[in-house]
Amino acid sequence: MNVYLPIAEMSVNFLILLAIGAAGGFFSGLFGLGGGFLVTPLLAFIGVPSSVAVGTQANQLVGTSLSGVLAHWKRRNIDLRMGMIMLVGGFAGSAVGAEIFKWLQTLGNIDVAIKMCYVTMLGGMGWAIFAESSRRLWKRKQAALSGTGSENIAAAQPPQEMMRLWGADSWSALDFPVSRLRVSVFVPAGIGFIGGVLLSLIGTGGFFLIPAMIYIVRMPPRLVSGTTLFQIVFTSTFTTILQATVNHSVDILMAAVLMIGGVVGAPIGARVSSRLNPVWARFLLGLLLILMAAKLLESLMTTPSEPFSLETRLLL
Amino acid sequence: MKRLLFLALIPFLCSGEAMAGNVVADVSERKVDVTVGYNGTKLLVFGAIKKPADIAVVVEGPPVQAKLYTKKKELGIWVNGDSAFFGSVPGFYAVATTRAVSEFVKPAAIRRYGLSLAGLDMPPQPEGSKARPENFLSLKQAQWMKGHYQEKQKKVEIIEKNLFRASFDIPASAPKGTYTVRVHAIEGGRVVSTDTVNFTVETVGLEASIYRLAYKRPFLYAFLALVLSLGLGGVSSYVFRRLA
Repeated sequence: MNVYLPIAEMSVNFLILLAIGAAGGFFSGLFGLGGGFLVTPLLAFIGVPSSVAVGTQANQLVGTSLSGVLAHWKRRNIDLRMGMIMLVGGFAGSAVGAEIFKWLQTLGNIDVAIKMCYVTMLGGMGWAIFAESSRRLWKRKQAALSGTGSENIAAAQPPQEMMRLWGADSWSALDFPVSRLRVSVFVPAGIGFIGGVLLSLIGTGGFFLIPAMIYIVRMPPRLVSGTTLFQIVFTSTFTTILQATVNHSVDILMAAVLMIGGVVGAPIGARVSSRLNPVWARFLLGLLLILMAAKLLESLMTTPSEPFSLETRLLL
Repeated sequence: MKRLLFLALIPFLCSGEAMAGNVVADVSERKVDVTVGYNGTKLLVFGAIKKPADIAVVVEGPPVQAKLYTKKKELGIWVNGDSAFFGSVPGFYAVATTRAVSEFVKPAAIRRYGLSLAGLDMPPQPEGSKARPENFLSLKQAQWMKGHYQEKQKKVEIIEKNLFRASFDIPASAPKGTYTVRVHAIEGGRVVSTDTVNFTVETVGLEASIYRLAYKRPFLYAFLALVLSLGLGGVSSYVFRRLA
């Protein structure tokens, strides 16, 4: 059963497309992070141009991140001031990203660039997760052998004083009372900027924003997801408009099929996650990401079957 | 169905009026609709000849602009290198013949009527496009790999001396627009008679609306994309809360 994608201008197997959406949903339900980083490379494997995959991904992110934000909003897990500053950077980054996208398109290398970004991102993330989880698995085994008790992790003490970081004394510093820290606005704005560039260029950005806000800005982890999602709702809306109007790379039909798949996949992922040992789950995720990065890299390195590539456009 | 159509046409095809030339032809579909389930189509070209002759069928698609990149290896990765730009080349070109084309057509006629891919010359290019004939050779190869250029020697079937048929696969990725089918009757190395028939490949219904909106009203399209995403995002989180 095939479905003809009007913007990608190609025919793909409907069930495979649905399954890719479900896989993205499954992993977002399983690990509580967006499944976008998985969907774009899977679409690339079935031959969907990366440019269309990325534009469509940004569109899909609008709906999924909004429902996330609403949930965080109820639990007061959002630092609005921080979010706003990130957003200013995010808008600028998204606009710059769209320009880079267009430039790479005229060079004919947008697909290669997107795939390389994914190789780096999946490989790096996969390695980090794999290393962390296998270290834990190893430690647990040692602990079981020596008969000592469970891991003793001291609960992180919430800082009572306002934390002073990166340029806290400069003219650009600002107090963020909700996060209890003082930092130069250029730090969150800069991180938001890079997030925006990534969103335009590769259709996802949370994988960078969340660790950056935790490790660079030292934001309390409780606030990070909500604040990041707050920024993503608006930047992904902006990016969707840019991709649709400048690059014509949003395929509504593909987005619909992927999202319907996601509706099915996400709850299943969440169910499985409640039964699965989280360390083992991360171990498997790490392996999966490394494998995908390797597969993608292999496809870029093997000698192509034809020495030329052709782009055509109807004469109007 | 196609067979029936074919048989029904025989009396008409053989009557003197329609056979001003030696050959008359038609296609199985004058309008190919690209709908949601479209995955390419098989097009049948058929017709009749008054006296036995060799047949060459040329199916030419709408003209397209083309940018041809030569791939090169950069730091171990294959990227698109130098490019050649063509202002106008056939978006689809398929030729089928009754026999190996060199056996029954003079070289000059092969080039003139484009009766083989090798014999297809670069169409005159608009000013400013610097594509050279050797670039066109590469373009033909790239188009052939995509299934957009085809050569099918010995694939025109002659039935009972006076009827012929040939089928062509039009892949889903082939350009939309008007296609021209030229059927040549060839005797003594020369084209003696030609019949021309057109058909169109067009997106219809939902596919056409989406495409038109995306290119003609991009802001409205973006708005609809956002509404769709918000709607399905809402459904998704509702289902999630219920089930997870």
